[in-house]
Amino acid sequence: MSAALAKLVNISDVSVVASGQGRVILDNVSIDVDAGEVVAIVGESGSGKSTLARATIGLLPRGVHVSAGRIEVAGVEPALLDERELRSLRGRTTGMVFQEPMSALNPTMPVGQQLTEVCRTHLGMSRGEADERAATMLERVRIRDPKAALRRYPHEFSGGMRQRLMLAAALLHQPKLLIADEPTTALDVIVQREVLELMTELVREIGAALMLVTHDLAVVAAYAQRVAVLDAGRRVDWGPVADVVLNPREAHVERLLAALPTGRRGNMQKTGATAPPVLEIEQLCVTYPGRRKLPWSPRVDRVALQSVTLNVDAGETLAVVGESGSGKSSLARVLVRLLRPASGCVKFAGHDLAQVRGAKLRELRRELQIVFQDPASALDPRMSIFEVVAEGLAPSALGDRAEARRRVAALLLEVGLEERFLEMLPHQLSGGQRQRVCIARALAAQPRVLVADEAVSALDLSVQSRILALIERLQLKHGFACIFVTHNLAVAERIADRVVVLYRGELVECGTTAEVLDRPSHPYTRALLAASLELGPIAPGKYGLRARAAHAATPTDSIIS
Amino acid sequence: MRGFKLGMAGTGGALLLGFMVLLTLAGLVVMPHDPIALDFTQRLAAPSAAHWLGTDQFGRDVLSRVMLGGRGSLLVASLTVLLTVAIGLPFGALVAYVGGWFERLSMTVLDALLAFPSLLIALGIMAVIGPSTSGVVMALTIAYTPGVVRVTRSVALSLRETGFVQASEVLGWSTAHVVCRHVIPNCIAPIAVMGASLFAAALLAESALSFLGVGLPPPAPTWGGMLADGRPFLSEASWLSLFPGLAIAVSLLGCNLLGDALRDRLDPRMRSAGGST
Repeated sequence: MSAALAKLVNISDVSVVASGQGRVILDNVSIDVDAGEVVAIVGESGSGKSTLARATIGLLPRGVHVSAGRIEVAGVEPALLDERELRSLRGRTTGMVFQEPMSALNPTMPVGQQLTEVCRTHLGMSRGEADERAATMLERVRIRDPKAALRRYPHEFSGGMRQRLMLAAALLHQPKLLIADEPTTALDVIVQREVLELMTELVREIGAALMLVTHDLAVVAAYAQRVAVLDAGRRVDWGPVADVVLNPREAHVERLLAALPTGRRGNMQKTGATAPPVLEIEQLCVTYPGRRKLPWSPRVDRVALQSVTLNVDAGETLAVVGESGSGKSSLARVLVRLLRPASGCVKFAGHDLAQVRGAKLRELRRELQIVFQDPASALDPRMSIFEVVAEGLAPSALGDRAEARRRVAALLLEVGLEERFLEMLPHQLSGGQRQRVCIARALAAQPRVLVADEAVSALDLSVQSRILALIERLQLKHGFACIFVTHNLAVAERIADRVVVLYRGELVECGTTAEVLDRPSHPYTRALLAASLELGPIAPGKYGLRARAAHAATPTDSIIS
Repeated sequence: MRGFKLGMAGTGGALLLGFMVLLTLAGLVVMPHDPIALDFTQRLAAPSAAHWLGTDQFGRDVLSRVMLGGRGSLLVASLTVLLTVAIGLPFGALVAYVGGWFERLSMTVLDALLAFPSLLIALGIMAVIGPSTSGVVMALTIAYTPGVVRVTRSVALSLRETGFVQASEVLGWSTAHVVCRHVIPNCIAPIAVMGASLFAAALLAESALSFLGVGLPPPAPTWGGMLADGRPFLSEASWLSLFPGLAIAVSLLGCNLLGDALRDRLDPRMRSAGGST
């Protein structure tokens, strides 16, 4: 019992149910956290990992409650506390960082007020003291000019900066436990790494424990000491990272690890210079109209892409990598003509896409298809899967319903969905199945180019690897060129023949996968490679973090101003 | 087609509204008394076996008048809603979709209309064309359409950015197809709720117009008109206003409950439970 008392967090045999449907979210889960330790909770979506973190500080959503077991945090049981005591516990002993920093910060309040709220309410500090402390904290999370920053509003900060603000807010009252729920999932690779480093460093400094909820095994391997693996609410494995992840002993963990994007696609045999490129992108510029400050002042347009020149060969896979705001999605949208270039052109089948109109355009468009990041919003909620996919068929093919049905069923089969899905509605499908439907719809148009805009980013790792395999297989069979927009280098490496790196709207590097990833020439590419955390097999049954061959890894701050 | 269940509240709404409609329709066949026959011996008689809901200041049977009045009131309100939605929904979707100068021009005109109180617009139109049933419907339709266009447009604008609309565009479908197939059907749910509240507004506006003497031409009673007529006698003969008022309230309640239930049923995510996320 004395051993248990020394634990900072003690969760024993906890079950959590949603009372409405009687659905079991967590089933008999036990973990513990020592003071000053980093414990990761890892699992796919729906595994209950966030619920576990939230239950720890009594922050479960309405209608969800702990039905069995005991949770103890710093010697108290949140379940026995009333609302006021619970707030005090959260305000004194624990801090929390969420995935989406923008929605966790109040946009109508200066960040200073939000940061100091905790100190003033729970530690009884005066305004001046709290401000002083907040400024010191901001300095420690490396925000420039902290005094001025306190008076600014959340929207004036970038995503990474906001997450640092959240971190500062969560650590300001020197909690004993920091709970971070997917704290870096919404961030770019480089920023993600910086925030993680900063978080673990600060936690170590103030001697707090960190409960890190994540889906990313590489993050676990790099930062955690112990890890709990959850699957469908059950604890599959629990122990030191070395035993659970690096030398997996559980089949489920092995499956998760096997789903990691690894390996490199064998470069396509170039057929020589004989085949003309399928897409020619010349001096492409894309701008978004800005606002005039005054009716007569000049409009300052935001440049999303700046004179990008690029050819896409028939049948190849081209990965477009870059951070958010680098213009990679704009590029994807211009290619399928959802967006018009400000200047420059996209040539497809001998036509400048911006110049074609009417029926000819509609005909051309069918050969340029796109798969979006979020499959849920890419399917009309009112249409059955049959209707969705049938939309991809040529209008002439829709006359004969039985024939259309047969073709849609064949397409669904090709993407790995049986005929029973035909009459289902999109919301009845899982994320991966929905993405398959999107692919089937694009495939129905028999495209020559398929643009995948972060098509696997929103999916669980195991689903992601299956979708990647599916795209590869379909590409081999149908011979379309694939432009794969992604922020994930491992995914790019796994699927692409060539890689293009975009940075702030400019194409900074373009070459074969090997050239770009092994011998990067641009400092941004090098920083990107240095920052990416990747886990891969190092021996049979053994996994380890892989270091990218980033030549003379540049300090990231030198280029990310 | 899947089963069309409305749930408790929806069924209740349908029953309430159905009851009022039936009462009105029954009036076509049989009425306890002649609703416009004057009988000064029976002035302001309290509800009794002969006159279930009492009589008014001219001795006319209130029940018969409520039954007859429903014809005008319910007809005007439902026609107004139907026309408003039939015009506003496609137009709003089109405006959002076409954009450019067409959108700017249309919205400027509609915003100018919205800037006036809708009753004032209706009043102006009625003053020009004179009291008639079709006139009231037309006036109220003109007054309420801008609101529907605005709501539809804002929904359609966000739909434009969704993946399924863009995928449809990329698949080479014409704007007409995209609007009819994706945009309009997905606008229906919010508009169904708006339609229910418009029905209520139209009922009240019709009463107001009748009260001001530019509504349905007399002597045909309407619920709103009866409510207004009963006002001076509120303390001595409360039933004069109470029963037409109840008729309006019951219709509105039924309509609102039905509208909410329809919205839920129209949302496929709520139609079949048990889907995974």
